[in-house]
Amino acid sequence: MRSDLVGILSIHGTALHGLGFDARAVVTREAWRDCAADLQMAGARFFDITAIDRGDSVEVILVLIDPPATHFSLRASCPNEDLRLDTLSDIFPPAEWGEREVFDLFGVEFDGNPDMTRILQPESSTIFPLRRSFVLEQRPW
Amino acid sequence: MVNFARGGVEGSTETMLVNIGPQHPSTHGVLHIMTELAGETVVTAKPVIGYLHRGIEKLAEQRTWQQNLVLCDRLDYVAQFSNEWAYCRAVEKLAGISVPERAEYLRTLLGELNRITSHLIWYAGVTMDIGALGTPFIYAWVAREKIFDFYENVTGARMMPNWMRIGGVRCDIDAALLADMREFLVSDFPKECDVYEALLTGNEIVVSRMKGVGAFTVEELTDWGVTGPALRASGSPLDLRRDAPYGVYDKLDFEVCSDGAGDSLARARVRLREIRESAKMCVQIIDMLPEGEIQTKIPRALKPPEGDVCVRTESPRGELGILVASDGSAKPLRFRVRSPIFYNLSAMPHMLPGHLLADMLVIFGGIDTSMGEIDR
Repeated sequence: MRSDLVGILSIHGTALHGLGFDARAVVTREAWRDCAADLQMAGARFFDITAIDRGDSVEVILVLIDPPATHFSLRASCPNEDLRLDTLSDIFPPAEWGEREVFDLFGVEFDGNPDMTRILQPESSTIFPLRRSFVLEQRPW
Repeated sequence: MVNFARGGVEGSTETMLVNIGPQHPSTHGVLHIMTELAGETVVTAKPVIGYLHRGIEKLAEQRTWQQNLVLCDRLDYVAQFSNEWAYCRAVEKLAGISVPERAEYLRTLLGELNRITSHLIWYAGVTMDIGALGTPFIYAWVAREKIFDFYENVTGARMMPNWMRIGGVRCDIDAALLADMREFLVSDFPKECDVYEALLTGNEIVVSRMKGVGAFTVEELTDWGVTGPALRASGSPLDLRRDAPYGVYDKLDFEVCSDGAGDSLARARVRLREIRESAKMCVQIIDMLPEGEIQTKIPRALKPPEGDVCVRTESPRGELGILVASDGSAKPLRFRVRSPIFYNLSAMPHMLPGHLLADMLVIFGGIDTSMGEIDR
């Protein structure tokens, strides 16, 4: 893991070394966009954006890679009452679809995403299926 | 609601919206592309996905870690072993499980055979799309069936093998079967490859149809999030099998296939070369295969420690990422599939404008979609 990337992570948030990633950093929602923009300038490449429901909040996870072999993550937490985050789609173009998927499945809205619509579910859907509060019905058999 | 900005092409007065799919012979599954045309030129293209959405990521949260392997087969149904392998590696990393050496070899063998069959499906599909109805398709099917018979003999199933296990593989492969497969890969398969190349890259009509169509630079494709053979065809040397070796790739002698041209023909050449490389790797693995255990003993109620990991693998279509999160219970907190084709497809609105409608299918064939993994 390059030291300048670790430096950027620790400027904007708390950088931790941990299981499964070469580094991981937790940032505030305000620092989310700036941190991603700095990492992009330093040569980081988009890999994935996803989320985990933590009960009272949704943790949005951005996975970035430093080619060829390093991957690290940036996390921001959105409380249930205010599920919004700034978009990264102008910094990393593939994030547009990734953010649409997070919106479709978790209900996190990304401010500034040019097409904040459902992607996997039909347009008429009103549910956010990957939330804990959405419980799958027991099968009758 | 979908909103298209109309017009904007010089010399045209009106554009036309054409829906390609969701039921169309060349969309390979249920993909819908809303295309705005000025004459025959694509102005905007918007892929609409989700027709095959089965909620696999949600279903995975209701099942135990071991049960989820069944779902992995059903993600990308033409590269089943790649998905199983990626999931097993993610859980093994999370739970700190080591895999016996023989199992690693067997996994790599099936992973590479899977790359061959997956690329053969691409070959069959792309030749059909550009008008070679039937003949190359059936040629590709001959070798594919031979390898599928091998899958069936090893795992009991052709399509949904459910063969890898967390900590190893379900059953061993008989030495006679391996010798038979080695014989096929050494003697018959290279001749088959010659035929594939003669029919595709050696065919003047196909070459004139593909050459220079959809040429993109590495910078463009990297920016759009494209990975895998489609990126390597523009000259990128990135291949996780060599850059971040897993399985036994570090012990194998193989070449990373890249090509500088960056057009549709280069993407075809890269995949055809990868088929040959994979066959060579399979022969090496069969020759080197050690004796030993195939499964580490793991508890039936596997409870990985709290945390999350992300594992990247080189699937036949690009970089497949599996992110799993555990809260310390017997079921995953989150099972996320970073599908390479999901992001490759998201580059379509950048790739297609300016090309002819007929070329659209050629470019589209170059990224090798499989809707099962895009929609999950």
